[in-house]
Amino acid sequence: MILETDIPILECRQVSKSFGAVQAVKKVDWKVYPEEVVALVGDNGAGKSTLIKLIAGALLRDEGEFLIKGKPAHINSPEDAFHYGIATIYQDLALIESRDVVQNMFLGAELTYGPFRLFLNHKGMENEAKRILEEEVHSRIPNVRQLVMRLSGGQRQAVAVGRALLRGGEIIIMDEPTAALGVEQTREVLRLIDTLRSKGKTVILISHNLSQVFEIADSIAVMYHGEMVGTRRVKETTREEIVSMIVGFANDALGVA
Amino acid sequence: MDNQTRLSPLFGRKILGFLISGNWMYLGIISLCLVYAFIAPNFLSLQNLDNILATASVTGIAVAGWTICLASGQIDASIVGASGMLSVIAGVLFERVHVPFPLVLVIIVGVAGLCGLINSIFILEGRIFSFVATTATSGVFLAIGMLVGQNKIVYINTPGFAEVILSRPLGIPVSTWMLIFTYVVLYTLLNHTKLGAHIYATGANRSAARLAGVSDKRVIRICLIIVAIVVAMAALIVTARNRQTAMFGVTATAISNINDVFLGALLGGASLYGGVARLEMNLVAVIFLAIMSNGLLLMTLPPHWLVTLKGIIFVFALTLDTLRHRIKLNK
Repeated sequence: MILETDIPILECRQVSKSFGAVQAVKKVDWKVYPEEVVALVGDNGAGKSTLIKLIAGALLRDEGEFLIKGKPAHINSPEDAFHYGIATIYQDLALIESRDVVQNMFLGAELTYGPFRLFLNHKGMENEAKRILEEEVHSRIPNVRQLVMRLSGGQRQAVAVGRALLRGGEIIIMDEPTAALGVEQTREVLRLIDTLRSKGKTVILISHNLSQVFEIADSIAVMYHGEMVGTRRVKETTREEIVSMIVGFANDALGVA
Repeated sequence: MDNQTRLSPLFGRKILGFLISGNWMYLGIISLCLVYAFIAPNFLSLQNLDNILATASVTGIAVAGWTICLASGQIDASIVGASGMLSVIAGVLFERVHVPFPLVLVIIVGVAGLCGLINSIFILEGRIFSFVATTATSGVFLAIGMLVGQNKIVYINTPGFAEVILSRPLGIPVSTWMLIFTYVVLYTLLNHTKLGAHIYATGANRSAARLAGVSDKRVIRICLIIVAIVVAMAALIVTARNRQTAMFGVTATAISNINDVFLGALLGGASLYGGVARLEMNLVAVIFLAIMSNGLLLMTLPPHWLVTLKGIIFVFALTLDTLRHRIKLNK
């Protein structure tokens, strides 16, 4: 049970972002508690993707600050976000099609050896990639030297998740991970999220699929027109309430956050 | 799995695979050698082998640098102007200012690096498409060369420049040593270092690479500097061989024809779409092209045939590249 007194693993304070005249994210205050699966929901254009891009360092916020475990975090680039243990899996997965599984998983965090750590440790990376995929992601990728372009949708997700784990991600952000997947692969991804939670990771999940959200998430945060409407515990809310928040009919008087 | 290939018969796919993989060039080299051995006099002579290597080494060096740049997703058209300018600067420094050759070498590398840096500013900060930006800078480089050389050819007569580059340690010309050196270093860089992995990734999908924490701008900047320095080496070899600097209007370097470099890189499997490069195949491609041109010259065919043939091969290589990009052939 999460208590109000717990320190959030991630906190946004008055975070804003505009694109020209469009204010995509308006003074968002948001707390994410550790070892939870938090779903971030909202209509198209509600600012979900922009908010997570700000957290992931892919976009630069105009105002506001982030706190990781109660301490201010200066997230100005994807590398900074990795540094604070935030790993993001984008909707398109941001994998390099013409590179193999190992190269994709280690991109930006390659293992090296030798003078000035100049040379790539191909064998070491391969073994570590295999280990993570088998033991932590529980996925079936027979050949880690296969090019990503030859993998199935579920396998790609596994590679992306493996990469996030490999970067030491404590907070794993997933942007609509099941949007383009079939039934079986969606199951696979939901299982993956469950695995991540059981490993003590915090997962932030963007989704449009409310039944999926109610099935997998611990709490649900709702955005509407760039504002954070509120956060609800899954056990203490109903679909009707969430839907009314998504369409902008609810106030946050009863909210937890 | 991509099954959109319309070439359903296995045989067709095999031929396509053979062409796309570049393995046809081995066959090409062997058949060219056989044909030329019969119809072109002196093709098999030791002197001619030397000629072939000489042609191949200069283009080969430039192609290696160019491929690295192409792998990072950028096209550097400024090598024409840069090589002309560097040739002149080297000649003026050595002949007129009497700078000792090793120092000339250092200065040339420095100036080349600066050229790459200037290109990178236009491409990265100005966000101009690399081919356009470097076409523009190429002209400026050439003009700077004209200014430095006061529109005159500088002849290299003082000993110590040409002699060094034309010498043959262990019986192998310096240019060939440089070719070997360039390929070993760049091959290792591309395939066995972090930078290499980042070059491929940046070229294949720049935004994805950035999201993975690759500093894409730094990678591209380094590649532009590498290609400029590598091209500088090629320019020095040509300057030494001709014992004169580049002529204006026409840069008398082997790099004067960017098509040759382009062709070598493309035939060697580098992709215009970025992120793909096989340096070892580049070497095969350059040797293939050198043998082809050499044989045609020996047969005293009118030169326009060579140009035509190269043009046809260019189109062929471009088609292969596009095919390779579109059809993800199962290997």
